[in-house]
Amino acid sequence: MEIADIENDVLCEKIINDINAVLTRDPDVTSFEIIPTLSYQNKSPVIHVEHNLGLESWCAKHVYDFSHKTILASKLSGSKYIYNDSLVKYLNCALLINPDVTTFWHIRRQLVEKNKLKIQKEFQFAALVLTKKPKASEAFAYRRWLYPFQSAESIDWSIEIGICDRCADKSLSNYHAWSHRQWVLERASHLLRSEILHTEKFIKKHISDYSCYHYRQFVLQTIFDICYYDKEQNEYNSLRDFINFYLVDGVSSVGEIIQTLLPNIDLNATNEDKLKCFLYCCNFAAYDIKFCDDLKNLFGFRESFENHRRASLRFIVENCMRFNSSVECYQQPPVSKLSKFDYSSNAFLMALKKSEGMLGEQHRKWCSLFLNFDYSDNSD
Amino acid sequence: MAFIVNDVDISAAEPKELLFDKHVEYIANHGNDQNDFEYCMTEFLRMSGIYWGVTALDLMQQLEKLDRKSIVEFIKKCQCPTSGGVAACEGHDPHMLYTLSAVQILCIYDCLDQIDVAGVARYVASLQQPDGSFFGDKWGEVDTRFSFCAVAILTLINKLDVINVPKAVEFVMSCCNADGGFGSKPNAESHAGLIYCCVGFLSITNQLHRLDCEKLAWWLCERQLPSGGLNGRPEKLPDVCYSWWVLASLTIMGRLHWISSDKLKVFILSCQDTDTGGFSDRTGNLPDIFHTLFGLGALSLLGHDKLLKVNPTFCMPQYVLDKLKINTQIISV
Repeated sequence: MEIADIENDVLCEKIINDINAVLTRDPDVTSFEIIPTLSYQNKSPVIHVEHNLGLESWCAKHVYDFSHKTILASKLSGSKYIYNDSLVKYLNCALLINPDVTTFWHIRRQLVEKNKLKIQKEFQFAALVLTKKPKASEAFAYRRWLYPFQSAESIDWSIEIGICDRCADKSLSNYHAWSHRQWVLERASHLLRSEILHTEKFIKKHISDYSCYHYRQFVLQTIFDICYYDKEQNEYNSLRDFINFYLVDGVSSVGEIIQTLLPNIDLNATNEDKLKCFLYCCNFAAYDIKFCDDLKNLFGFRESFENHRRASLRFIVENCMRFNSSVECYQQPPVSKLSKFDYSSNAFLMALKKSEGMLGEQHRKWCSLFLNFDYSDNSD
Repeated sequence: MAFIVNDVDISAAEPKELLFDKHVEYIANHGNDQNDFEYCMTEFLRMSGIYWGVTALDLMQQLEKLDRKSIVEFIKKCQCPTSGGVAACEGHDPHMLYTLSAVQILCIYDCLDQIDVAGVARYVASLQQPDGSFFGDKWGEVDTRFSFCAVAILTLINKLDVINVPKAVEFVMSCCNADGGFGSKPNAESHAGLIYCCVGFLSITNQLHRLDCEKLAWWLCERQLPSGGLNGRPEKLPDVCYSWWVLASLTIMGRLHWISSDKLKVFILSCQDTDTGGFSDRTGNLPDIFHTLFGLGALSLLGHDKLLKVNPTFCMPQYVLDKLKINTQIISV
């Protein structure tokens, strides 16, 4: 080994120890960054200010190489590295600099299984990695993997939503952050209500982040699937306005709304929860259609506004058709199986079809393909 | 009303012809400097890196530029004797992604017998879950990418019968969205890369009739931007790798002509690096080996006369699949 290499190794070891000293000393480290610097400046490259940890860029390569080399040598030697937590400081540095190395996360998993690492510290570490790389799919996967090690009562899912929110905020259309958030919501349906508010706020801040719009569609679908509604809510103003946009003879009462959307329904034979959930969800979708129209008026045409408006419109039309055609099995048949549905019995859908058909050739095509609207007879 | 779209500008100075020799040189020299930081940082996906280089060179009929013997030796060292799976690099853990890359390379080199093929089949089968989905490795992440990897690997080694194919199909179909596209999991956002995996999966398992082609092709065509480039999701910038994923999916669905090939070609060619060779993700950025394969692959799908024909499902030269007598389903319209 050359003298320069030995010096390099000694220096790397020192920097790695400095980083780990910060991680041990300050359990509230909230962010990690590599700070662009030109060259070695004869002071410690590890910066720790107000719970923020930084590493000067000139040494990142050396620290990574050295950590990487040390971890793999230990693993390849067949030594019982798995029982030895002295590797952790190298794993910390390697993963902070390069969070995509699946194998390094796996070594942590094995250490967790051997009780060599504390679950809470691991959650913190993965969150720290995400401050440096908000799209680090391995860090999200690791957090999902850690959850079963916690007792159910100690889980606070809103913390997880907060992490997703910060990662999505930093890196737009962040597929991993939004998929992870979906995974959280599947386990924490009590957060559905607040997610309606969160996503609206997020969209107002990031109007072109379609992943958030898609997630909002998932929130709506989940609300519908679990038959949730707000028991306090007796007015459906967005839905009322939506209907009145298409119909000359406007509606005002809830009874009229039901009569317009579901003209064939026998109220006595209908499950009240299902009906209320239907109204609640359609009101949500109608609100979003207006929301998209407003965004378009403010910012001009964008794909996100158009796609989300269409998804919301499809939700209302599909569910009206399903509810109308068969109350008992309205959740099962996909819309393509409902192509024979007779619109003429539903004045509202007829009016909607006609009005939407006038929004340009492309939108008309979309309506016939996705809503099964038949414009071929030219009668509308 | 203003129509706002995220896109790139392609200046007249960008290349308009395929810089064939530059790319050969770029790939052949890739990884020669093993002290390079980038080389160390990308070690965790080395096996795929080799697959991208080998396939790209084979499409250019320049396969001899790489040292076959050392590559095969490398792959042998990466197979885990216990699980049968293949790792990205020696010392790393086996994974479905790198097992597929290794099998693809060995098929191109026509030497599958150099590894324990039964072990590979055992590994893939061990990762299937009761709902039909696949883990990427033993630690339990599920993704439609792994479903594609599983059936692609098993078809290449002629062992598709070791898994429950109907269940696997059921899971992939559960990831289909109302817009016709597919995501990584049920209800996840439609994504062109994952659509490619799912369409490829259905092409391998002869289940293309399950696709709602009209809706899916609509979604895929909306990926083309005014610059001619394709993005992978709504509102994203164009990227050469989506030229491959979108175009391959449309080709499998028999609807390549639904987008403008001429404009796409202009975009792909503009992503070449005139100094070093190689393709970047989009005009003006630095090249890498990943985008180089997918740029060349897309040009091959568009019928470039200097490139061999590529198979849209496997992203391997068609002659390799012909030799293995593997037919992949394609819809003809």
